Amino acid sequence: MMRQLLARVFASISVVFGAVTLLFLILNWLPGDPATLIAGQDASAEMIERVRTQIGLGRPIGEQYRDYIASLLRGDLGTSYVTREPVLDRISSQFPATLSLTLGASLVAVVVGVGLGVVSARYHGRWLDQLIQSAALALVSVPAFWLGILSILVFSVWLGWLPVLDDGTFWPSVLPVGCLGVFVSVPLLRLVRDGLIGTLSEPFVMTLRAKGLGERRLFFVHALRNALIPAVSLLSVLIGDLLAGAVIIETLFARQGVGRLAVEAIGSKDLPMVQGAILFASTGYVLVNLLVDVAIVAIDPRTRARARGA
Amino acid sequence: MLVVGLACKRVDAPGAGGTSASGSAAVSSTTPHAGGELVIAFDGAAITQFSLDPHKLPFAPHHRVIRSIADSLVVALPNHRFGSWLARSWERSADGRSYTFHLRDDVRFHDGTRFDAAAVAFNFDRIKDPKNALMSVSDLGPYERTVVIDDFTARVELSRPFAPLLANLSKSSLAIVSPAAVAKYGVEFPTHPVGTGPFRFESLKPATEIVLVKNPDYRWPPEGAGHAGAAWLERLVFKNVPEEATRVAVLENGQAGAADLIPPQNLIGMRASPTYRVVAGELLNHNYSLYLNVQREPWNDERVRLAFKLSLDIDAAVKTVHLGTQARAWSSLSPSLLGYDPALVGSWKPDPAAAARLLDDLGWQVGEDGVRSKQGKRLTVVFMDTQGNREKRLDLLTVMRRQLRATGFDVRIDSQPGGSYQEKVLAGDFDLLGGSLFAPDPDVLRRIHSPAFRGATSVSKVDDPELERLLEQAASSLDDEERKAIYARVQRLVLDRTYSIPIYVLEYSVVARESIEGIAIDRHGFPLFFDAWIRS
Repeated sequence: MMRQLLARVFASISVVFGAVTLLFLILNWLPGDPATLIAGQDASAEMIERVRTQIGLGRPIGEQYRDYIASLLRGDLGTSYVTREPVLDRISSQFPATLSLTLGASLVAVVVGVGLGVVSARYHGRWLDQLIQSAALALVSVPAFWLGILSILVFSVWLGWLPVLDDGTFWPSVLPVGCLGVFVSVPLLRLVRDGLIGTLSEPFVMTLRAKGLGERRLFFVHALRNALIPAVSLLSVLIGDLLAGAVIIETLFARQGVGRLAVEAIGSKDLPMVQGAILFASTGYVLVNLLVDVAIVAIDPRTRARARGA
Repeated sequence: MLVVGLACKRVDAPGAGGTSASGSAAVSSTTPHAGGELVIAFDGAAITQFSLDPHKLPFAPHHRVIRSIADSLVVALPNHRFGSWLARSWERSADGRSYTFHLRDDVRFHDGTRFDAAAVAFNFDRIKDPKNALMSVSDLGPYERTVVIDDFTARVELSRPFAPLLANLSKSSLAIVSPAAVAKYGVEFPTHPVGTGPFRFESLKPATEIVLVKNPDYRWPPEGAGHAGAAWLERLVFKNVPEEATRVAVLENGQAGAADLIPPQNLIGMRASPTYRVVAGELLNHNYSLYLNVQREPWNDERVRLAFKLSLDIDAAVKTVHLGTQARAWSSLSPSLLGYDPALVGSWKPDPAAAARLLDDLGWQVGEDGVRSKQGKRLTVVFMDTQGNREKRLDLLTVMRRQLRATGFDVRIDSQPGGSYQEKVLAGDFDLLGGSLFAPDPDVLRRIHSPAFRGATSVSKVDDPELERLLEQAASSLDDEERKAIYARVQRLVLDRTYSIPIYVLEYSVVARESIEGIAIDRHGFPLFFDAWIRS
């Protein structure tokens, strides 16, 4: 078990390292010269050249990569081309906003996805199930962006219940967290529902029923636990959706965040900033996957048995 | 020097390029009172980090904030005149190569240090120093040095006459910042700006929020300001809300008291609504124009460019997209710039038939799909873009693309991130570009079209000795009438040779809730909050 975990951790570190290297190469191969962009529309050729030297471009790529990895190991993510500030400072100032957005949204996704999935399965085939399924279909069919605009219009403009702009309180987070959470909850909902319905027709359920186990206990304890295992694995995939959705939600709601930072940094070809943001995102992704693996072992006795057998 | 009484401010006729206000309560009889916080949702577009050093970046959204923090030596007034601000008065030498500024002696920067001739010299020398790589250097033209004559007299010396100097000095890009603060904050100065303005910088959240607070000691507003003394508002909070639908929403739900660059469909409704007031002013600008790459085939042939131009129905495109909120442009220059030639209005008409004839004569044959080709080369026009649909520019292009298709042009849109866009522009790897450049003087034409003077990534690739000569002549002439005559020729020439195709005149607008009084737009088209107050 411990060995397995260690192997996982090692694999995770390799994934992050691979992502960083790949990204470094992609960004450097992409056409586009950050110096012309930073120097601006009116800049002369000399000014562009000065900026280029200032930000340390024009050196061989191998040298740039070696320096990058070396400083990365020292915990130094470099300096932004555009604003000349340390990338780590900037990302750590933006990170809490993204973390609370994605954590909040995950919570919403789990509550809504699992909750409605259970309700849907329980009322399988009846009008409530059909209503939930139709709503879910509608939700997966619209872009997160549209969902966001619509929710601003309804809850903020028409009903006047919730603010949009950050005012230092909790309330402006409700809409973005809710939107992102609901958006991500749909695949979870379907998986839980279908999983439950499938589990309920499995032989072990029939056995339990025959042994006289109550429907409620059967449903919530035995069937749900089984249906939740694929749902937990799905969470590790959904983190990608969450991060992608965060980019849109952060822009739409004029929030701070690593997602918006990354997109804008890509636009201005601020390579150190892009690298830093992606490093954070990939580390987050890998960490969540690691946690999910551990969680599955904890809730699924079969994997524990396999681990012992291995 | 001109003296304008305080009473006659902000009364420029709407449409004359000054501030115009509409809405139910544009003029209020109630007396202003101090206090309160105004939240402004502004379009910061793709700002990654706020950079509030006025000399550093030419990006308009930053300057909309900077204008409240830092003052200039002179202020631009109607009819191309200039009034006193940090300079009480000034004289120009007979040869036009030096300007002596008599400065106010009662001005302090927000950090408590004194504004004086040495501060002026420090600012301009800092801009001029190539080590600092500051964008405002082009605004100083042939600047050589500033001589400190006494504490409050500074003489700016140029190597040759430079007609746009006063206009440029009135721009926020040459606003005066605190030398002590520049020394103290160093590379972090752009996030710790210190000026002499009616509001001082308090704090920012990266890319999302800037908070300014009232400068209680302020008593040096520019000529033409609405009142003397400190600003009315206690706090100004600028929120960067890049999504236009969100700007509309936060204005509607009252979270923001004002918002800028509201999309046309909403702007029309808000103009008519008693809940809002719209303050608008022409941005002094080289109008948004299209530029064919004159150094590349087939656009190096003037006749092909003419056919392209005659295929366009710009009136229809601008009306369809901007719904009448922005005027169609006839000249490269926006109408309130010195030298704008009104004779160009209506000077040409779309003529697809003539365009088709021109292309036929040149051997461009219509193919099966309606696109022309010549010797196996299709008449494809790659429009390279990096700004997306800002000011509805891609919507405009989509309409014009259909118009061009009717005469056999195949327009493709190639969207590039900023870095690769600039690199391709530098290499001349494009057929068509669009762009605008805000500027207080027609000399902006030189910054776009003159190979000796323009930036390496300028939208225009024109190299025309006649045009160059005219532009040089106009830049060093100190006679406004002579300059007007030259620029009239230049505008005509640029249009006739299809060096650029002007599309629309940008009217910058701020929509405020009805209770917010006194927001104004300055002569450059930038918002002023000095006279703004909140009716309780």
